[in-house]
Parts: sequence; structure tokens; C-alpha cells
Amino acid sequence: MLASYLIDLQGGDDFPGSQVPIRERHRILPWALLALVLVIVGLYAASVWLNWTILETMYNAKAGLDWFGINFYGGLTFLVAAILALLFVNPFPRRSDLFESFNALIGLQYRQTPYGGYGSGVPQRRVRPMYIRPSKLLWGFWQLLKWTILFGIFSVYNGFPGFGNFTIVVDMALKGYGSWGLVPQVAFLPLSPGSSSEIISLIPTMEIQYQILVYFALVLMVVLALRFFLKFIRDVVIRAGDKWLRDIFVALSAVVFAVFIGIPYWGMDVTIPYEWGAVATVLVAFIAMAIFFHLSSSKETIPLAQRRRTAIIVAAAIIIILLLFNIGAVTYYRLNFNNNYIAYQWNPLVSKQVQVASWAAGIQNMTYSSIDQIPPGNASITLPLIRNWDSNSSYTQSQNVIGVNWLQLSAPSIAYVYGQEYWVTPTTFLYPDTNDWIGVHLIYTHSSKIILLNTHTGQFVNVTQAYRIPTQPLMYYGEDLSQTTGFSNDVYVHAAPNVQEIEGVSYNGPPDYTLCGAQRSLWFLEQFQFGYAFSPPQDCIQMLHDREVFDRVQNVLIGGLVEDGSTYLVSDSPAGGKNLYFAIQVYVDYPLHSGFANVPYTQIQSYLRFFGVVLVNVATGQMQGYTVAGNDNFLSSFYKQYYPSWGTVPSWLQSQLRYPDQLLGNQVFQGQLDADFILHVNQPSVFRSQSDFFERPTNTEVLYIPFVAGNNVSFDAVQLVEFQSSTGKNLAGLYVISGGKNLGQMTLYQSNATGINSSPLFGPTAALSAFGSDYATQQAVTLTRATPGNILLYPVNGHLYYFIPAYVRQASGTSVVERNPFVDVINAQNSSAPVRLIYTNSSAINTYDLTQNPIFTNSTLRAQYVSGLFTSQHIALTNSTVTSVNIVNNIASATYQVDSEQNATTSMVKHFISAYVQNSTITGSGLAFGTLFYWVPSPGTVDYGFVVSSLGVTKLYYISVIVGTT
Amino acid sequence: MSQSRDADFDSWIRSRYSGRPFYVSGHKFEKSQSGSVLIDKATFELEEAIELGHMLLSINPVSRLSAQVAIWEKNGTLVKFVLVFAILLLLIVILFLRR
Repeated sequence: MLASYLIDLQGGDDFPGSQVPIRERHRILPWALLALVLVIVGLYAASVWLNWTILETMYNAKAGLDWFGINFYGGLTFLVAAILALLFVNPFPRRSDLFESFNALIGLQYRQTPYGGYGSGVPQRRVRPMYIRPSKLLWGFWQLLKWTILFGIFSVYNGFPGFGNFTIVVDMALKGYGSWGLVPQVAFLPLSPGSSSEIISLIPTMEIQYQILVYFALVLMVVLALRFFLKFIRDVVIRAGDKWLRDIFVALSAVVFAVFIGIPYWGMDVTIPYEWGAVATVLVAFIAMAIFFHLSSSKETIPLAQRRRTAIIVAAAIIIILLLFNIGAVTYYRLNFNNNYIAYQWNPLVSKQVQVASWAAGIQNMTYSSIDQIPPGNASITLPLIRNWDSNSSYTQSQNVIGVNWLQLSAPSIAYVYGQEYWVTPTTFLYPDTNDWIGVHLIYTHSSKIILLNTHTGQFVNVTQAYRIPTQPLMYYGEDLSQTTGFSNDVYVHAAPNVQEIEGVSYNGPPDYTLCGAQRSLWFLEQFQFGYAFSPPQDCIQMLHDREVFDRVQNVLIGGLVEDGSTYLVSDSPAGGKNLYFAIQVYVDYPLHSGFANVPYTQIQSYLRFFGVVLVNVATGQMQGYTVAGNDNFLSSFYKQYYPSWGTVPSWLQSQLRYPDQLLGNQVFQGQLDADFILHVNQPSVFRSQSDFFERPTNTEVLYIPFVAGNNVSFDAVQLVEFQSSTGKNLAGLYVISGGKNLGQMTLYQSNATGINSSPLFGPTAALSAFGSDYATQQAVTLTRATPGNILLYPVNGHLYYFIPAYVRQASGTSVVERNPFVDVINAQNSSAPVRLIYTNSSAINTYDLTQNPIFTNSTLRAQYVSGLFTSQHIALTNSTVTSVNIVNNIASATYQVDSEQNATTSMVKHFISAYVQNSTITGSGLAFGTLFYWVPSPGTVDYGFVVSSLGVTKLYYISVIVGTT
Repeated sequence: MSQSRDADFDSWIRSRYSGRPFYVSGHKFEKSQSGSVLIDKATFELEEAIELGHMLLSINPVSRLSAQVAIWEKNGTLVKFVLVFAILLLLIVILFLRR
């Protein structure tokens, strides 16, 4: 049927000179094209189905999550798209504005020339003699085609492109958030603006119910404006009276209505009722015009009707008076903004923005303190944790321990593990041949290197020792470098007996998906692997899919949940586990519409909260999420409903967690701290003067450091800030955001303009300047060509110091070795104090010349300390491994890798001495051989024990002390 | 004065033919061959033109404005004014008021 129709269109003429009619020669072509199209569409549909099946199965098995339900809001995406697309369907049968305007434009060619023939005058347009309406079939097909295309577009965007995610809004409404009863209050906010607490309580309704109304209205207005624009073209062309004026005013009314309905979202200063009145007047005027011209175009004009003229004059006068009144009031207030700042702007708008935007940005619980209240950290704890090796130097150094040619470094991340800070650098793939399909998908399946560097000493540490796990797991899941593929490639395990994974290992976890039969054929056919598609080594092939950890987590995040740009490794070893996980931090970044949620002078207008963390097992790809957000707001509560398997953070993980730096803000993304740079000011005059606003110095960002308060250490995020546009580059404050058990606790240690003891504080930029201008440093730099590293501020004994390490590396080429010859210590509280230049090969590096007492900085000293506990009790020590005993009794073990663990270790050792070594009921007549033995069972661990012999049975009592290797 | 202008206007408009236009309050009245009257290039029937002429000559400002509007409506000036005014309002809404 279709073929014959198409052929009929060709006319059925024979090609000149041909002996065969065209009809016969081309009969097969349309069918072949149709078949080809159907095959392509069928393959695409099957491919989509297979991909969705894989993802649904994988996330169900490895994360306990419903991938389809999350990505399509339980199917609501399609329902919303279908309804929105319906708005674009012409409700009148056989009517089409597009067709009619097109028809009218085509009619332009029907021109009538004046009598006298062509070329004797200007052509005149006339109305096309006949308007051809589309048939019902064509009309129905066009409406269906239009609906289908729009349905697809709206499904992809979860709403109208550019208008935001509508599905999530509808979903929140269906789940009971917000209130329809509060919609009138929202709608009339311009006439009766609420207090900041009322606005906060109205935000859910503003973002859900009122947003639904606004969204539908906006889409309707778009439809209306488009339709009447098309009608305008038609009516202008066919000269249909004043209808073209009606069309213009309907389109204009649509535009103004779209503005009007959004007024409750505006930030509202004193002028808002008048602005509302002005827009309402314009809207009413336009609607009146549209009605007027509609009526006037549908009947004969009576220009001289007195009643009508009077009505026009009166209506125009009313509109002009209303407009003049409202716009005049707005103008008057705006002209007086400067001399009535508090009454006209601060009270109605800015003070509320400070409150509402603080709540939205999640900084409402920020603690504000003076910078001289920074906790005085114990110097003996702080100094061994000073970071002498920064990210770049760690990266350079780590390259020389990769050891193989098929791995390369990922980005280093900072981690605080068991009381010690490390640069943790996982590795990813560097394929010898990226075009070798077997190599990429079957051989290079995993990475086996995670490189840890002690940030203080610069020594490499084994991952098993740092994380206290028995063996380093093979990394089948990991992080790729940007613009490269590695873990993002799928791999197939146990797929070919004659191809073995690199390093001769075999994946022993559960696969992400097993491709069998037709699914396998389709999957490999798409990759042009015909062998695996049609004659594979076995019917079912196991696959590890979506192994790049950021992508893996992103696939199950719904709108408004954002991944932090950095990840770090955590271990479940504190709970007795043996696993390593990538911790992907997830936070809420949901754009709010209310202008009260806007942070003045910035683009920040979002709801920001740390939502949770997703752990991805590096070996198996198992995913487990944990939420840290409470249920104190509608968004966190709503999001939690999508992740029922995510529990609260367990204690073993809590101590390893830190606060996401992207959420806090960095040089690229504005975050919570950027909001507080402005919103910490709550005095109108100071706010207006902008004298106390902060900015992030260009050469710093949020850095994580072990922050010492007394003898307690927590891994906190620290952001140094300077006064905005300050020429002195003074330190304005120090933001400290806790990690670990106090996760998310935010404190601003704020300087004042004159600083502690009336002495301005050095900012990080000034500290770097001091590094560059110090005489001794300049000499050292000249000799070594060293460059400065990270600029970190640590409180030592209640005093603030900058520590800037210097690095030497090969000037050109690819350097894999970097040295840290010296560290500059700069007094942040005294700009005239000399810069301390500390050579790392001198003993001064232990104290940085800041304390007189020696600092326990290495394992040897810690082991000596433990041994001293025995010798001080006159107990002889002998270095020997005890092997031939009948009974082994491990009494206890302690970790003494950092000085904060000294007290606990001392107690344990003293208890061992008093309760065992010196307990005659155990030792009887005394220690066998008259001595206590010590030995090193593994690097970093020292065992102390004694042997007693009774009735021919020898017993060993011993304790273990982990002192570390550095 | 006004009565004199009314009389002049009446005599001009009721005369059979006048090749010269007649000005009333700045408005140009012209007779066409078809019997209708052009006022500022807007076509009116004779009776309408007479009524408009008297309204323009009235001392009542509302009547004069009413006549003015009727002429503007007929010759397209009102539409142009309305469109310009609408665009102005739209600019006010979008540029001056909208945040």
C-alpha cells in the first residue's frame, strides 16, 4: 500500500529509453528501506532494553536499589511527559495553527496584477480563494507525531527544556510534601510579605504546589504565545481585520502573565506591592486589549459609538493612572534607597535574605568565634602531623613506585587513617595498546597498586599497614583520570580459558551481570565482536559493568543530588573487616526559586546539604550508602525515600568521614562557605559597607588537616579567608568544618580588622609573599631552585603558624623524584617576626624550632619509649623471637603510632607489668631465663613477652604494640 | 467665535462641492467624489463627519477628545499608539520591574 502510494507519487513514467517500466524495477526498494528502518529501530529498542535490564539487575544485586524507579521516578517521568505533551495538541479537530499559517504564506503567491498585464505595476496580494483544511487522518497523524516527539523530549528533560525538572516536583507533591492550602498565601506574598521564618516554612509549598501551578502556566503560556504568533502570521497575510492585533495582545498577555505568576518568587523590598500592581495593571490592560480587538474584529466597526469611545477613554485613563501610581511609587522608593536603606531594603529584604539564605545554604548552625579562641593544640601531637609533602610532590614521588608499565596514577587524595595522615594515590590503567579489545576488556581487568605516602615524613607506607587489612584487595573498581578511559571500560571475567587476567589472577567476586544467549549476541554485536556474539567460548559471559566509581554512583542519583568531585579510601578494618572502599560523597544542591534564598552579590540560590556517602567496594563493586542528613527538611526527607537501603553511618565509618570540599566551595564551584563569606554579616551598616565580606584567596582552597584540640585530633576541613579585595592580604578568618564524630560542625574563627593584640594577621597570600622575600629562603631557593608547596596554617600551642614546604624537582622533562629540602615556618600573628627556615635533614624538623622538648616523631623513638617502661621497672629485655612453647597467651595489643596514643599504650604496658610480669601467681618462681623478650613479628609491630614453665609445660604471655614504621 | 466657526463648518460641509479642504481644530476635512468625507485621511460618512466637526468645535473637552479618538481610530493612529504603548509597557515589565 505504502509502496504503491510512493510510486504513484512518482507518476509511474518509464525512464526514456528503458524497456522496463519504472514501477516494476523499483517495487522492492520501498520495502527494503522500510525493512531497514524497522531493523534499525528494533535493534535500538533491543539495545535500550538490554542496557536497562543490565543496570536494573546490577544495582538491585550490588546496591539494593531500583535503578529504573530512581531514574524515572517510578515511571512518573513518562506520565508527566505525556501530560505536558498533551498541552501542545490542538483540541479542535482538523485545526492546525501551523498548517493555517503555512497555508496563508503559500497564499502569498496568489497575486493579482493590475489590468494591463504583467510588469505594469506592483503586484497586489489577495486572499487565497480557498482554505484547505487538513483531513482528519492527516490532522490526527500530525497531532500524534507532535505528541510523540514532545513526549520524547520531555521524558529526556523530565519536563520542558530550560524550565527545570518538573517530574521531581510532581513526585514530591504526590508523596505529601508541601500544602495546597498554603498556595494562596504564597500567591499573595507580594502584598503581604512574611517574616523570614514564615518564608522558610513556605518554601516547601513554593517549591512544590505553587511551582506546579507556575510550571503548568508557563508551558501553557508558551503554547498560547506560539499559537497566537502563528495566528498573527495567518491574519496579517490574509488581512483578517483587527485579528492580528488580537493575536499580538494574546501573545503579549501570555508573556506578562508568565512574569506576573512568578512575582511571589521575587526578593521583596519595600517596592514589591507596587511592582505587583504595575505588572497586574499591564496584564489586565493587555487582556482587555486582546478582548477588545477580538470583539472588534468579529463585527462591523462603529467608530462613532459614543458609549464605546467613552469606555475606551475611561479604561485608558484608569490604566494610565494605575500605572503612573505604581511605577511612580517604585521610582520614588528606588530613588530613596540610599537614604532609607534600613527601612526600604534591609528590613523587608536583605535581613530576611541573611536568614533564609543561611538556612538554604545549610550554614544556619555556624558557630562564630574569635580567632584567639582557636583551640591550643598539643604541640607534641600537632608537629608530627604537619604536612611537609603536598599533593603535587606526593604525585611526583609516587610515580616511581608504580613498578609496571600498564598502570598510572589517579589523583591523590588526602586521608587520615588510624591517627596518621597520608596521600593515598590509587592507580588506573595505562593500556599498552588501547585498540587491543582483548587487552582492554579481558586482560587488564584490575589495578593492584595503591600508593600511600606519609604526608609528614614523605615515606611510603604499605596500604595493608596503614589501613590494617591483611592484604591489599585487587581493584576491579576505581577512579579514572579525566579524559581517559580505564575503569569505565567493561571487563569480562572467566570469559576465555586461553586468556588470563594480568598478574595471573582471577576475579572471585559476583559479576555485575551475566550475558547469555540472545543478550550476549546483541551486546557483543554492538561492539562488533562477532566471535563473542555468535561463537563464544561459553554461552554465558560474566561482566563487570560501570566500574568507574563516580559513574557507578551517579547512575543512581536523582535530580538535585550531586557527587563531590573527590573521593577517598576508607576501610572497615575497625569493625574487623578486610575491605577497602571508595567513599563517594553525595550532597543536595537543589535550586530554590525564592529570591529570599539568594545570597546577595552571588549566584548562590540553592538548598545545600551534605546528604550521605556511598561506599564502593574496590574489589567487588558492592555499593552501600549511608545518609548523614537529618529529616529536618522536605528535601532530605524526600530523597531518603528513594534510598531505603541506606542506613545511618556506622561508628567504624564515622571516624573516617570528612566534609565534602566541593559542597563547601572551591575556586570553581560556589558552596556553603561562599554563602557565609557574605551572610556572616548581620549588621545593616556593615553589610551595606561590604567591609566585612570575605573572599577565598586565589592560591588556596579547602584543605583537610588533622586539627588538634588539646590532645584530641579530628580530620577537619579548613578554609582560610581574606577580607574582600583587601590590599593588605590580611587573614580575616579561619573556617573549620569538623570531620569524624563531629561531622559537619562548622566554626568560623574570625579575626577583626586589627587582629590579635592589635596586630593584623598574615593572610596566606602575605605568607607566600614572606616566603618569597625572606633573605635566607631566597638564598636556599637560589641554591636549590626550590618552589613553594601548600600553605597550611596550624595552631601550635595556641599560636598560629604557616608552614610552607619547598620542593626541588627536575626543571624540565618528566620528573619522578622530588625532594623537600626545607620548610618555612611563618608567624601568622607577627608580621615582623623572622621566617624560620627549617632544613628537613636537621634535627630541627622534629620541633620546627617551636618547642624545646623533643617530639616523638618516629617509630624508633616510640619503641624506645615502650621499652623504657619495662627497663624503668628493672625488667631485663632481650631481643629474641620465642618459638618453642606449648601455650601462647596474647594478653593485649595497643596501637602507638601517634603521640596521642601514648597514654593508652602506657596504661596497657603498666597493666601487663603489674598483672603478669610482676605477678608471682603467674610467674611462680620467676621469669624463665630471667628476662623479658621482645621481637618484631611484622614491620611496625613489637611484641613483648615472657615464658614461664610449670610441670614441663611452657607458656608464653605477651603483648603487641604497633608503633608503625615511620 | 465658536458659533461663527460652527456656521462656517456647516456651510462648507453642506455645500455641494468644495475643492478646498476645511480645517477644524487642526484636523483636515476633505470631500471625496463619492460623497464621503476624509478627516485626516480617515474616511467618514457625511453625517459622521458633521457630528465629528461639531464635537471638535465643542467647548466640552471630553467631546473634543472623543472626536479625536474617533479620528485616530479610523485613520490607524490609535492602533500605532496602542502598539507603541504596549511595547513600552512590556519593556517596563521586563527591564524595570522584573527581577
